[in-house]
Amino acid sequence: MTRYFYDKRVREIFWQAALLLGLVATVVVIVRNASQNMVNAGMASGFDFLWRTSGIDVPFVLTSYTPDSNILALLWVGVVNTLVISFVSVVAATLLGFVIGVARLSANRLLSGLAGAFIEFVRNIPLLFFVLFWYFGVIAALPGPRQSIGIFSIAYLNNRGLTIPVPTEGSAFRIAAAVVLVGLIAQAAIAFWAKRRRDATGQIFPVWASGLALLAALPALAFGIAATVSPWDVPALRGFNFRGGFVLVPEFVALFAALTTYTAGFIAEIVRGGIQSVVKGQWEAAYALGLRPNRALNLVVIPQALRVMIPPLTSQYLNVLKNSSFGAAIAFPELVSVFVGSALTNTGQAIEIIAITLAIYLAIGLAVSGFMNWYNAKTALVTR
Amino acid sequence: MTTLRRGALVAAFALVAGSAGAQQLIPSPTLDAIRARGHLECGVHLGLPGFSFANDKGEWTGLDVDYCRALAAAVLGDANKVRYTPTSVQQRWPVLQSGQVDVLSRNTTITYSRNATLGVNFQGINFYEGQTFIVRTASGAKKPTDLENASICVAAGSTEERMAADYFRERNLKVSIINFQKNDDAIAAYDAGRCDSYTAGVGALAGQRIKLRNPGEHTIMTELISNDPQGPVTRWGDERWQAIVRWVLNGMIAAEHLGVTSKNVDEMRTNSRNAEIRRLLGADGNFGAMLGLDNAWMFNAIKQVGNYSESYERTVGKGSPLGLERGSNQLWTRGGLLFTPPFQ
Amino acid sequence: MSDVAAPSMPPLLRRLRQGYFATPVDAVVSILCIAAIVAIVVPIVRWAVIDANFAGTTRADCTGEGACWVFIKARFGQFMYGFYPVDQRWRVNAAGLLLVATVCFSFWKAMPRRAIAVPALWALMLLVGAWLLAGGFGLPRVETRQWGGLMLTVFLSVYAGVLAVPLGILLALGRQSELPVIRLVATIFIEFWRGVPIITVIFLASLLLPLVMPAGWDIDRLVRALVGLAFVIAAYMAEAVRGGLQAIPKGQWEAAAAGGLGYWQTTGLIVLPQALRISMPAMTNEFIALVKNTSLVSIVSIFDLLGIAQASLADPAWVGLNKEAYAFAGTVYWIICFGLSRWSRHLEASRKTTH
Repeated sequence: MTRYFYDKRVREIFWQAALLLGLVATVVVIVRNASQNMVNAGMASGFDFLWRTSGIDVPFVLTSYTPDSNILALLWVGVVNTLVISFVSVVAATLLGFVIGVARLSANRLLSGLAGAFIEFVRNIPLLFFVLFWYFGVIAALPGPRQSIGIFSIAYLNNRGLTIPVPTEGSAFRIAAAVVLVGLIAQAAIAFWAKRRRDATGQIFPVWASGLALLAALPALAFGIAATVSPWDVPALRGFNFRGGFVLVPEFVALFAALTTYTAGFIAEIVRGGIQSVVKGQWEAAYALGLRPNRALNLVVIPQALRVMIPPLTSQYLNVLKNSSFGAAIAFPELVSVFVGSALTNTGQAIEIIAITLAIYLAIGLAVSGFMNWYNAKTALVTR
Repeated sequence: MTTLRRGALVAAFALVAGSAGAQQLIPSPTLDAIRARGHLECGVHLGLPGFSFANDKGEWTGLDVDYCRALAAAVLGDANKVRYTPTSVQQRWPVLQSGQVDVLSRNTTITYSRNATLGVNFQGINFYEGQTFIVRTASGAKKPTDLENASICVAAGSTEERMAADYFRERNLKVSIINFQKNDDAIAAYDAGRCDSYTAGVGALAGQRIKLRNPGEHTIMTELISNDPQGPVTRWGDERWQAIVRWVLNGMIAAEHLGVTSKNVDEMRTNSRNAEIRRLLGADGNFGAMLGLDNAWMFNAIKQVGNYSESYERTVGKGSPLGLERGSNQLWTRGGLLFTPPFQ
Repeated sequence: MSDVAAPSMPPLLRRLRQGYFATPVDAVVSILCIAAIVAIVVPIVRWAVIDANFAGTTRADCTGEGACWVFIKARFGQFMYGFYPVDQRWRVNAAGLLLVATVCFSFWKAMPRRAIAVPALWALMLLVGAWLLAGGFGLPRVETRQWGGLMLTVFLSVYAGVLAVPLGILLALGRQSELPVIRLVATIFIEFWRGVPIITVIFLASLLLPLVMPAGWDIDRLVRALVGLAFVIAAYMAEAVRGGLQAIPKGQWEAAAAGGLGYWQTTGLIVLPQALRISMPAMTNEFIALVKNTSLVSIVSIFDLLGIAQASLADPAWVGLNKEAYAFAGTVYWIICFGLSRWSRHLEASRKTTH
């Protein structure tokens, strides 16, 4: 009998079974408690509430939602807003972070000192402060609607946001978007082909030139034509505020600015660490091969630095996604704000609503880290 | 035959009376728990001057707080034996449902769907609130329909959030409603100029206005867009506790109606010849004991906290910075809506 | 003449020229930087110092254009201790001293049986600290709802942080385990808590936990927030520890196994001490993130430093002093987090030199 206890395999199976059993028991107890408590308290349960009319007015909507839509549509508004604010903040924070990270390495000590001060400032203060600072700062800095700053008499900036004209009919824009997409695919194909040829023959194709044409000139042309042929809804002051157009609310601007500056402080440190991790010998080797400095940076240093940078960048991007929930503190209608805020109190179904919210964040996070892992594997493969 | 029947009737009466006298009350776990821990747990607002507001020493005052104090005095004999749990708009329901508080006294509007789906019961009305708007006087807006195209700040998940959306949608007026997680954030954003208006009940607006930088530059509209009766809330179950919560509120209103105040309550108990006053204050009968309380329950509440009028004037009325008229919150005998069933 | 002048330039001036104005581009960059510094620093100094009010006791004493620090002075006790009873505040100070003493002892390299003594010391500190703050056993009880301000921020950070360390180590070991069930459970636990925003975790702890407890159980709401934060931070700590574990060469395990040591002995005596030393800077960074994230509890009306600053703004006697309250609270956070990050960097530097 005791022989079995000392057998390593038996012991391993025993411990794993015990853990599994313990977990199952915990889940069962929690579910039983929850259902019993809800029955005792006479609380509603189930997911029927998703099809109830929401009745909630949301100030920043990119979908076809109206207060007459159901709560599922309200959830979708939250998801879309979360994705949009996260995406634009990630792009801006990456650009700003790269600039500050490179500035931190500058030989000019004033510049590197300033970059260092920025980094130390933003990294050591809670994000909530930045969100509140930008929000109340933005509102205080801008004039009221009647003293709006007009931009060519079509867009207006005031403390209710930036009101911009929108096309009332979008088919021309959809065609323009399709054209841009084709250009993007063409550029990707050219880059792929150029790289194959460089690896095979050593000849360098000016990828930047086709990129300029396909990624800058073509979209500008396509959207320019679309803009001139489409009818526009131009904002006009009426009563309290501007009527018509689309309003980029100050909540959006404040959350965007806060997420961008805060995350840029972290990305700058990643960029600095990444570039520093490429040893000096690599630069010297690149020069010895006759590469000019910008080629050395592009072909030798950046690919290697990127390999070091991608894992921490991924976690920063995921942080932006999670931190977009700080919008709840300033009434930006992202997922937590509209769903855990408004919908939860209107329906009282805390368990269902929080479970859905958690599941959505996990799903988006999983998708992002999956993509970044794929990208990481790709760059690692190419540079080695 | 008739004598036999009469005898049976007498015996039945005796049985009923005997069981009442022996205090065979249905169990009240909430009341037992309060007695065991020695204090009442009361859910209140995070900070709304006039209703529930903590000063810098953490001492709570307000109309809703006074109700908690009266309830504690009735149940435990001491109005100070209350612990307050400040709750946000979202937190108030889970806090009550899960039993973290015994009663929620947090200017919460009584609605059908809350009663039907949240597992909560509303135990009467201690404040007849009506929703309206506060605007900058300089804006010139006088009535709610003047607010077309306006931005309106509101607390997310409140009845006001949906009411305002419904109101303007029904009239086909476009407004922009900005939903904040906390009332204080909404009022701060309004004060900073983000919104043209902030919407809440008249009483709440009077309380929130004190927090603005220049209260004199703002006007509260007089036209109401809804009726929002508010009062203490309990969870389902424990009917005896629900009755206690209901009748302490009724007792405060009855005391005003009967002219009993914290000043004259001692004298009233010994000298009053009014039967209802004598029952209310425990001089006659066993009204407290019927619900498992001390017979001096309402005496303690009125002595230590006061009747409804005293509480109202001190917290939100003329004796307070809010300066509200009695309005709908006047007694039914004086043209208001405030009403209590009799103590019989 | 000029030939003579250049070398005789004062060394300081020469260094300045070489460092900042060597080329035209350099000069332009330097001038822009100086302009930026002036544009940022001057208004702040004017507001915070030159035009500020320091003397007085009420709102009426705030007369200048600048900051009104009178407000912070009047509310200082509340910012530090929340609503903790004034005559009991010595207990908070005592708990703070205890924390400082424990930190200092942890650095005493010559301590006998250090591997056991340090965790035991921290465990003791947590127990005594909780007794000092909450009361009981001879001390009058102080309800957690009376706690607040900086004291609550430090309490949440220290307790969640210290509880997260053992949990994080177990999770990291679980994720590295050869047993599939344990590996799966640890991985799911870690990825779940790392994947969700802390705001939702705090909502979860505050709104949901009470509904899944057996009827009649009532967990203090501060404890609930603490547990939520500890789970999240444990998941992040686990990843930091995993980094350290992966840096230990496989040979160490094999050597220990050849020496006849079991799993727990190998882990506890050989692998963990090295892995923890390597992951210490990363763990400190996670702790800094925790300190900053405690500010989110203000959303569920627990009055930490930021929460009490916001609550104080609602006082009708002191309206319109948002900037002062936020500036003060922000500076306190900054000092704590900056100090910790310096320490983390010092740890990393000393590790690099010793290896």
